[in-house]
Amino acid sequence: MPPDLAALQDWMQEAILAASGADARDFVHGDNRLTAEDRIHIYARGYRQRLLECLESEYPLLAALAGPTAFGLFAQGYIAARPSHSYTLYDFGADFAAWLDAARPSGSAQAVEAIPAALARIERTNAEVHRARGIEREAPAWPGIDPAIAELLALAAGRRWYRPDSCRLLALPFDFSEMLATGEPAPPRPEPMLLAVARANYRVACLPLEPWHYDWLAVLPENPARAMPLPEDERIAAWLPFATAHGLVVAG
Amino acid sequence: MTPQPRLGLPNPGDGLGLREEHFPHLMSMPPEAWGVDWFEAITENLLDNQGWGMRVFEHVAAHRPVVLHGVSLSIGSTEPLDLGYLGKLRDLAERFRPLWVSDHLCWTGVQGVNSHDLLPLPLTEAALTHVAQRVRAVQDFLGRPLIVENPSTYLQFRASQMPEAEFLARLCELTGCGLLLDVNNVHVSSFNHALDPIAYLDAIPAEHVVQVHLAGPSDHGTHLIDTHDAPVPDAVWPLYARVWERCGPVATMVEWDASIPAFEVVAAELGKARRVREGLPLAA
Repeated sequence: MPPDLAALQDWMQEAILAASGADARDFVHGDNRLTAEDRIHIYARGYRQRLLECLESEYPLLAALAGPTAFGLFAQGYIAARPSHSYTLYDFGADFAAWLDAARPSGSAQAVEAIPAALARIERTNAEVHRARGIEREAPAWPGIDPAIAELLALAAGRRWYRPDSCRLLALPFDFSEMLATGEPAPPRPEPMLLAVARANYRVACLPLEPWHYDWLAVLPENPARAMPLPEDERIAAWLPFATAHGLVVAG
Repeated sequence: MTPQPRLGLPNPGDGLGLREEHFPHLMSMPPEAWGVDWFEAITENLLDNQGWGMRVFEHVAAHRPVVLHGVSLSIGSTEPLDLGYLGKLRDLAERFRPLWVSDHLCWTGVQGVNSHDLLPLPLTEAALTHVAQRVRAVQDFLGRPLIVENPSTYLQFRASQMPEAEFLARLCELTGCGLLLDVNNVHVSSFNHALDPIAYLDAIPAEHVVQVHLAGPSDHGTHLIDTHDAPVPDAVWPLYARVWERCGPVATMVEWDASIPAFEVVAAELGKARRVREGLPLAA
């Protein structure tokens, strides 16, 4: 590797990340339209803008709830703290919720300052489920038969069940039901909420869960080879058609 | 022996970038109504993706030729090549058999960081040797020629020893790689550095040009930025005509990546390209 090239790339990346034009004239031509510093700042602004737009795209509800000023502060803090280390921008926002949680003042899990991280967890999970391995390509257990009847047949046949990668579970300190139902920013209620984010027919939905739903889904394996039989619980048997229709569980 | 045009690769005609905003159109309309000969997909949008985006790509690839266009190869970086990324790219290419695989003459980061920008290289002899060695390694790994795109640039390094077109021509000679000639990028870089775009285009080895990009930049007064958020500007069409004269027929594709309008609006840019090729005025 040419040492001059390596040194130049180290310098330029540092200049972009720090948004600093220091020493730019040593390396970069300027002219009467744009100085060397101006030209570095074009790249520095582009870097921040691209990552900001990435976060706005992945966290639209948080951006709407927080407003552009507060969301901009969250985003700029995250961009400064966590430069991307992945070949894909899709990975960039993966730690946003954890960073928001770590950056907030310590206090109750249901303090208003904890709302952004909780909402970010939902939106990140939503993004992951969109790209996860889903159940759309699974062969139907009973081809050519109405899905609802097929599930009853599956139930009767003593099938075993697993939770696909396209179904994720969240235990949240806030109830975001109103926001999730309307898609509009609304302050959550400070009450715990259990949620499944799941995909069926390539459509992702956030589904509020009862504790007994959550507990059953949580113990189900993700590996089809380890699928489990239904527990002897009439409520789960009655809920099974809904769970299969929404991609929460799959017959192994 | 006379070199084959386009490195012997096909000319699939006029193409568009595959963008999420157009998925409903593509999935609801029969392929014969698309009015597009082929599609270019961003490689990174498909890697690790088992969702709707991959399903749409499968549908499109089943009905039209496709090419894979990457933004993270970082062929000019002094970091080692990312073999994990390359392995996934190779798997994707083996699965979908794209007409070709392309990326940019740039670097995207060092020290493990990815800026997700197409950063410029100093155009030096040492950089040329370095990039050529990496292009050869990538071509060996993928088992196919790499198609390299000229980037838009906003600065020039004092260390540079040659024009970008000469750098690309020598890279082609050293490695046998192909070129994705982005005419809009030539326009942007030439404006930003007060250079002659025609001289740039005329220095490009025509037989290595496999594909052409067209796009619309944003005008910031003192400089242009390659935003792909507007129609192809008037200044680019004469450059495209020059490219067609030297390199045509060659696959032509319109990029539109921000403020994306309806599919028909983007496809209409291809209609303008056809009129330019036929020597007709842009407006019918």
